[in-house]
Amino acid sequence: MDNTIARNERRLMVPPVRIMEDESEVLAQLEMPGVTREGLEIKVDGNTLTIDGKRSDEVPSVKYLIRERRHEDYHKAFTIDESVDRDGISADLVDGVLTLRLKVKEAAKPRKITVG
Amino acid sequence: MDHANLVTRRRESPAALDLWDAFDDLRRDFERSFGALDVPSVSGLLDWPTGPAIDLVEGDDEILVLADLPGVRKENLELSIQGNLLTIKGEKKLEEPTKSRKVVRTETWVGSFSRTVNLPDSANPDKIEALYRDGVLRVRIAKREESKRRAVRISVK
Repeated sequence: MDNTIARNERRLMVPPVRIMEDESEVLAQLEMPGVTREGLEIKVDGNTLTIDGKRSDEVPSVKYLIRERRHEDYHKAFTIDESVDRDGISADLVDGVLTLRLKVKEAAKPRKITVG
Repeated sequence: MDHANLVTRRRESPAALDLWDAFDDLRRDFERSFGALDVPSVSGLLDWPTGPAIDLVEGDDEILVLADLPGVRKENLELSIQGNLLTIKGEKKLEEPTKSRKVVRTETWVGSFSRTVNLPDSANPDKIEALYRDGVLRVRIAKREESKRRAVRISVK
């Protein structure tokens, strides 16, 4: 299992996430301020969906009077199960929020059974 | 425990950052000992759960306020300055749950926020510039001429 925080001693931040789901899709929103489209890498490898984001906002190396922001790059890994359609994943990055939509396979959706 | 690492870092970084580094070292040691635990959490114990995180930076010519505001639209952002007090107001939005769409996990917050920063006296509130991009707000405030660090050559007679 890879260590998301301390891999290669490089500090990474796990972005806060909000996940919602209904019968046909899973919607995950990750907060990654400072990341541009170019600095974003999303990969699906087997059952793992990984998201890497490089912060592109310049971090000044001068005197900090207040320092609350984290300046690390982002890394997050999700385990996705068989019900997720691997080809039906879409991503959108707006105002520092990455929105992932994962479609649920037709076969995994609940079906209504009519009584004949 | 990797004490050597902790000590070296402490020497390198300014006092205010020691706490973060100490926490990170602690966490890393913990993870080394117990393996990586996939705990559903934000990345640190002291992370911000209810408001935007900001940095206040003093440079030679300007003062910089940086705020992480993911999910805030530019139109929903309001900046004002009164004396030396800079106020950042806004509303943070994510996709909303619906009747059929339920929230299954949440590690963040949504809604309106207001944050006031006391700028140093060297700030010139008449010269201010704000830029919002990729979820990060960057406010640049010029420094007063008289407060800029200046090398003055003194001739020796």
